[in-house]
Amino acid sequence: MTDSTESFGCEVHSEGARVSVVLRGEIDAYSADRLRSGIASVGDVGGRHVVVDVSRVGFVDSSGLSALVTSLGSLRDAGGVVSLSSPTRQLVKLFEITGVSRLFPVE
Amino acid sequence: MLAATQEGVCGVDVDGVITFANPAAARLLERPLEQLVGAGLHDVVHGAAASEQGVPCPVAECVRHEATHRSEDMFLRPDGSSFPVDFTSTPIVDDGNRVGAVVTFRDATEHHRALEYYGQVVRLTAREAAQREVVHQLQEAVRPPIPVVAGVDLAVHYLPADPSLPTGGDLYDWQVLPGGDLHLAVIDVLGKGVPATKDALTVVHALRLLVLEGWPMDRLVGRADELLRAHNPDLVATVVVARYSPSTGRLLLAGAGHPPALIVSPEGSVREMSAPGVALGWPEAGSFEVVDVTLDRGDTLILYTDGLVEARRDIVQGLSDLTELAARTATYPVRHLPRILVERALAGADRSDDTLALALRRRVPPVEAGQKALGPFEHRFSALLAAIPVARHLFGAWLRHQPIDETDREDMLVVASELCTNAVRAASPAARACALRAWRDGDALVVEAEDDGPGFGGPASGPDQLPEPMQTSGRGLFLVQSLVDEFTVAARSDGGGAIVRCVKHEVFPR
Repeated sequence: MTDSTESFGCEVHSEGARVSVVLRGEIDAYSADRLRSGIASVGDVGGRHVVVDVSRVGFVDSSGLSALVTSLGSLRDAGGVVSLSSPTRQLVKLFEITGVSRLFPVE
Repeated sequence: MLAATQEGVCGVDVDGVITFANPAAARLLERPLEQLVGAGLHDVVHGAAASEQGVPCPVAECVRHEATHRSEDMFLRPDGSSFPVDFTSTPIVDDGNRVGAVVTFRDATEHHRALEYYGQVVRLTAREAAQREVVHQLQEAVRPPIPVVAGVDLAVHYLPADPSLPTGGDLYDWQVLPGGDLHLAVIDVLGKGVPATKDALTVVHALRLLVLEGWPMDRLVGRADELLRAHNPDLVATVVVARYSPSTGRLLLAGAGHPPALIVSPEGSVREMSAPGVALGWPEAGSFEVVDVTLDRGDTLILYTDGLVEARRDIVQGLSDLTELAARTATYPVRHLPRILVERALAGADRSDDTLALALRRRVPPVEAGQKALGPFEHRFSALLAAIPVARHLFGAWLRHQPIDETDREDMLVVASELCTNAVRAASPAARACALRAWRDGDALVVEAEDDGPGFGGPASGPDQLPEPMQTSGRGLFLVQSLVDEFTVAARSDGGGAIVRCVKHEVFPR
């Protein structure tokens, strides 16, 4: 349970054609803005592969899910090839129940 | 300008004689300009014969109109062919006397054609709408509504092979029998489209009738085959029939050529329940044996048609994939489970068959209290986004000390987060304007949030209306309704706010 109550964080590592985004903590209405600005700071993603590591995201609710979908959607609109890496069981369940699982491939 | 326009323009004097014409007029009428000027306009466009017969004509009358006049007409070409025109005449007045008219006209062939197409489209659209309505009504007739049975969660999802033929050879039936047992059937008829639906319906009705007449499970399929063979000699169908007692959890399964049913425990262990037999329409059709098992708390029965396991690879691999998927989704809300099974099984598949999945879960309270339940939970907070995680963590800590399933904890934590977010968005800036409460009510867990805002009219759509994948907000209510059994919105007793309450049953030991 410690993981899930960890406060939100977003780290971006850019290496050539690959951008790695590591998200951790909880994504809800409170942290949604930090997620959006964190993802916006990724920069130019045109033609690059963006791997979003969500293995340490302990909790996501519908506000967090909406922020995640729009942020990752904007990366894709900017020409990035976006995939999620190691989602937790809770996140997969949330994705599948709400029907967004087909949007982003899972690595 | 007169030279460049696409419209034919002519000037006529009071006798209708052309005094000038532009190149478009010459082109449209297929005559050289010099032939036009000096000729009677009416003679040119309608022929001299018409003039002599005195046929009333908008062209001949154009010089008599006092104001701009529009009409439709047919003009002649020198080769005798004609074409439709839109025709406008404007009188030329000199010193109060009409001295002639300016006539403009354009070829209306395209316009008429467009109108004709438009008419056709309108007729076709109306016909399609009528057809869709018929199909919709038939689907409603073919798919019985979900029976509400205490202790049972039920759902189905059907995806036709061809989206333009929304019914096919896969069909299901569920019905509460007079004794309280539930009758379930899944049928897969050989064939596609409406004829297959018709055949599947006859099988559904034969089985239903025999069940109501009290035929034993081991004779159902064989007897249905005997009944159907006389009138439907070409019908071939695989079936699985289930009889479930909600009070005891006892489940009987009889099959005929159908892929095995799955029983999934909440821990994710999956049993393949083969109910072997010979498909309807084959020699010696019938089930070989009746499977007799008991569902425990949270066990899920999954019935399906072979589209679900044959979509991507061979049936053995398909079944193994389905088993893995069923294990992973063992505690998903039944309401969405069949849809998720179909979506996941068919992801990336080049599908050609109808696909149906049906899920039944036994919902009963846990047997023993391993742990004593805590008293009610209450937390008041102000309408700040930062208050949402705090409220959720406190509620999470309370939940951890309740003797309930981990799945219920997880789900209700999401529910609480949604309710708190909703309250924070609705409440006034007054300190401690929101509250999150939770308590035990018999075997149920009740969670409610209160705010001092004006309230809202409740959800726009129920949990069956899946949000658009890219939608930027509005999934909260969908999610809450997906995870709980009851969802109500009420005005606060003083009228100064709203209370949103969620109830999940069979969470606590009785």
